[in-house]
Amino acid sequence: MRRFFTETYYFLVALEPRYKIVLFLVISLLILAAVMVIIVLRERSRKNSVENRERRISRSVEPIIQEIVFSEYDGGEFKDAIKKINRIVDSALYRKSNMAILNELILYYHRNLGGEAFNRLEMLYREIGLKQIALDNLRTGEWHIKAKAINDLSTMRMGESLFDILQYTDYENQNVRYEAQYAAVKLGGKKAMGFLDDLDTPMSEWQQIRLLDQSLKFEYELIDRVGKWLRSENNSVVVFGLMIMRHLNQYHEKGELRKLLYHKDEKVQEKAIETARELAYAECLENLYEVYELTKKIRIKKQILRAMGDLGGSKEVGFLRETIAREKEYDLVFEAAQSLKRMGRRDVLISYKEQELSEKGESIVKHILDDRI
Amino acid sequence: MIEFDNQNSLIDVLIYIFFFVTYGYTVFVMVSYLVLGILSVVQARKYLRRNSYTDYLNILQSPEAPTVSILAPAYNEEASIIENVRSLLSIRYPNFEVIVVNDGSRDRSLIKLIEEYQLEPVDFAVNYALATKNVKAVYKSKNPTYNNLVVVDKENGGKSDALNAAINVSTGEYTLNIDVDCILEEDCLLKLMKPFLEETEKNMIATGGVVRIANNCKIEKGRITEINVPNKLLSQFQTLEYLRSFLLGRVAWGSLDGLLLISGALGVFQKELVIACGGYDDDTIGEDMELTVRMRRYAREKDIDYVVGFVPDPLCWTEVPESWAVLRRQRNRWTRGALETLLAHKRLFLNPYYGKIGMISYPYWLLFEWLAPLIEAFGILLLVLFSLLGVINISFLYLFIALIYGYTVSFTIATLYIEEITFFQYKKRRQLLRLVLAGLLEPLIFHPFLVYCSVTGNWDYFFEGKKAWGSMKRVGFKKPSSGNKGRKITASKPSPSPKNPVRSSPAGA
Amino acid sequence: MSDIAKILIVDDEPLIRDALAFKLTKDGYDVDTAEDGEKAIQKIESEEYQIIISDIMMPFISGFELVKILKERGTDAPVLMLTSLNSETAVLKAFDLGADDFMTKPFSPNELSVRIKKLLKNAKK
Repeated sequence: MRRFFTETYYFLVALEPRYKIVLFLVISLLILAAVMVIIVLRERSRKNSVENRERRISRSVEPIIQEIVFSEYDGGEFKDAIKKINRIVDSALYRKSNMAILNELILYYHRNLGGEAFNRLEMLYREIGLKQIALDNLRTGEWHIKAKAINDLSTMRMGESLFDILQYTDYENQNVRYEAQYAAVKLGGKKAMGFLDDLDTPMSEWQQIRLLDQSLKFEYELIDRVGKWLRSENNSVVVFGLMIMRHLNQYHEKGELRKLLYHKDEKVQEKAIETARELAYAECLENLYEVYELTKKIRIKKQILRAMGDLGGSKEVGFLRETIAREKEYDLVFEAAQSLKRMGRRDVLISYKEQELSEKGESIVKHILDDRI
Repeated sequence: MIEFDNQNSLIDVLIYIFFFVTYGYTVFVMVSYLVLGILSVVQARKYLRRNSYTDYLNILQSPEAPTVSILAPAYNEEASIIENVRSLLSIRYPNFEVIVVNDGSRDRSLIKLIEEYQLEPVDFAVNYALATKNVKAVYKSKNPTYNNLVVVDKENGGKSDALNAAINVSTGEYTLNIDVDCILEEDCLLKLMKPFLEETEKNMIATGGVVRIANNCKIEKGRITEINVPNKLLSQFQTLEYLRSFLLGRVAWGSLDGLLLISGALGVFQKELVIACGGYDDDTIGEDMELTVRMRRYAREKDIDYVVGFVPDPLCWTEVPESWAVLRRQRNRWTRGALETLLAHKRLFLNPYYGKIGMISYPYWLLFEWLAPLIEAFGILLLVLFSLLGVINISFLYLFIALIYGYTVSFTIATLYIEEITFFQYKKRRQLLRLVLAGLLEPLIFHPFLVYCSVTGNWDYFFEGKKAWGSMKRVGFKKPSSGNKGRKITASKPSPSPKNPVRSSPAGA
Repeated sequence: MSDIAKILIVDDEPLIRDALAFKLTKDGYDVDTAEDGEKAIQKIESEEYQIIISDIMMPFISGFELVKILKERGTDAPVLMLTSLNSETAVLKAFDLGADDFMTKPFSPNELSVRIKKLLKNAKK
């Protein structure tokens, strides 16, 4: 045996250096592969056990949460229930991950339930210590832990943590910043939207959608900041301002809106026309004619034709009728015909004389008149 | 190994060069795989971390969510069409329509659709913004439940033609282009749309997603209910291959914004741009890759600051061939398709004007996707020859082959590890072990087979004329629709060279 | 018909299903659940329910289809849609297809109880 090793050793030592290198690499790769297989399998077992634990905890915690949420519990019973849950999640090794499982469960309920049930869940979240965990994570975690903590706190409407969260609205990591801004609006209401006044980085559509989603809960309060946003240099803020204007019926900045109809950015311009239409801002029709002449962009023209259908009167009927007869662009003819239909002027669509429409125009009119589409 | 004596010096030098190139190339391939692997791990981790707190309900409930048309071309799919359409209709997204194109099927696909969904023909004014074969009729349902279903019946013209027809009747801002026999995850559209909504600086023109293998998975009512590793060895090889290609390759390229291919099985596109650059090319076999490359090229030539996204989540499941013969044909086709696209867009090659795709993606694809199998086959032939002639030192060669083998296996296992810590699909230990086993055999069986397919694909392309030359669509010729109302645009006139000058911004065109 | 009203809950998410079942059982109803439209139809064929609560976005047979099918079969039971879709189009489509009430998630369980009571009262008339 010993001889074998010494011989192998001398054989190896005697090899050319490149042999040594390659041989070394081959052996280390094989070892690496073997080690990785073991790690993968262990990881698999670990995950499976986590999943099992998750299922077990959900199964036993669920009925308790349901009791808490749906029954008229008094203080004592509530405390008992919390004790019960604590006993279930308690574990020397897995407490952290058990709490995370519990956290997801409560968040899930909270996302789907409202009213009194909602308040109970919030109370549970506080009492069981999940709020404290989120706050600790917010202070010490990596960016994704921070973002998740903020998201949890705002989902659970922990209003008292607004102050902690506000510090992150201009945090260096964009994801954390976005979460903090969203949470600020969710917890602080329209006052917290001040950060938009001088935001100079573009805001993603995703973020706009989320903020809008929150803002919709302000009902139809007056948001006096909208004017500032519409005048912003930051196009994404302008678009957001327009969304707010439209969905929360903020009529007071019509002057600004009229100016935006001429905006050089296509997205802003399109949104402005859409907003004017939704707000039934009929006084801007003259401007729309002007923009229609000025612009070469089909999207903008389409938007204008659509607006005419909603805002216009007999003059616009004439214009739309003309457009259908004259225009060569499919999309515009289509839009014009649709507008006429929306205005309730099927008669105009039917009354085209022979030869007045191209073959295409005719089929578009037919298409529009077909109510099944 | 090489002794320079006077007689043989020339041959020796040649052999020396040959080995230098072969070894160098191999090492380069290995290193590039490693780099891609690392990049994709970084990217996937970032994605997962962000997803840990993303609530898709926000967009699901938003009145501002962009409209999407799901385009499903179908040819002789009567066996599964009803179920597939049903599962498409139950995708989670606030405003979408499903457009099924019956591309001149010879079976009862259309009749089945009409019966199941109570369809009737409507007076649809089809806008031939993209030239297609004649649309015979457009159907809508009498039942208001299905008011977001449109069925287009057209003359047979192939997959590209069917997709173009679907684009023509679609009303969405974006299109989700899929293979009708794929099984989509419920959230797939929400996840694929997110990158479009998150991009702030650039114009996102398309996103792709990860395709996984459905063989041996349990499927109920158009949904995957249990994920399993395929039973057959051949499908297991493909599982490993897909994992490597999607989980590692495309995620990494996606993070570099260097993707040249968004799989035809799953991709979301900005419709306006697809139409502006001429839609799918009917004359190519690899229409998905060709469109991706052409869109990128078009965007660059129109000075659009664009980006192509990629979602690392597994969103789509597909059945892969279980017989060697079918697989050989598929790979042969893929080889020819990629080749055709590469040749049609050869002006990208090392052209700094096209940025990363010109300088990195294209050359990489050329060197590693196309040439690698050829070089390998050539190398093996030479090695056999050399060893027969006894001019080379065989023991070092064996060792080197062992190194390649070890590396490949380690890399495969590393892929499994990454899958394990990221998307965690295969839940049974035993199945995982089977994949490891397949990984050990793969370099010996599957890989040579792929090389063979690729070589024959090249042979067929260049020498058997199995190609669709000629009328490759090129970038930037056709002004969409304007001035063409009521007349079909004749498909792509052959043009000597692509025209570059910017005519108008595509947004306005 | 017994005094206790029978309710069928159709939702593909087990947690919601369980929570609803818990709440409504507590309210004194006889509760049954189904995880998708197809199972719901099977149950309705064999049992008579006084009220049906259904999600919209479910695999295979959506809530929209379910309502439509039920109403076509002449089921008397009122259908309440409970969904995370909250667009105007979804609401319009639901009522158009014959739904009797519409609630969006997140929903208040107490509000749901009241609406169910109201629907049952109307149905009895």
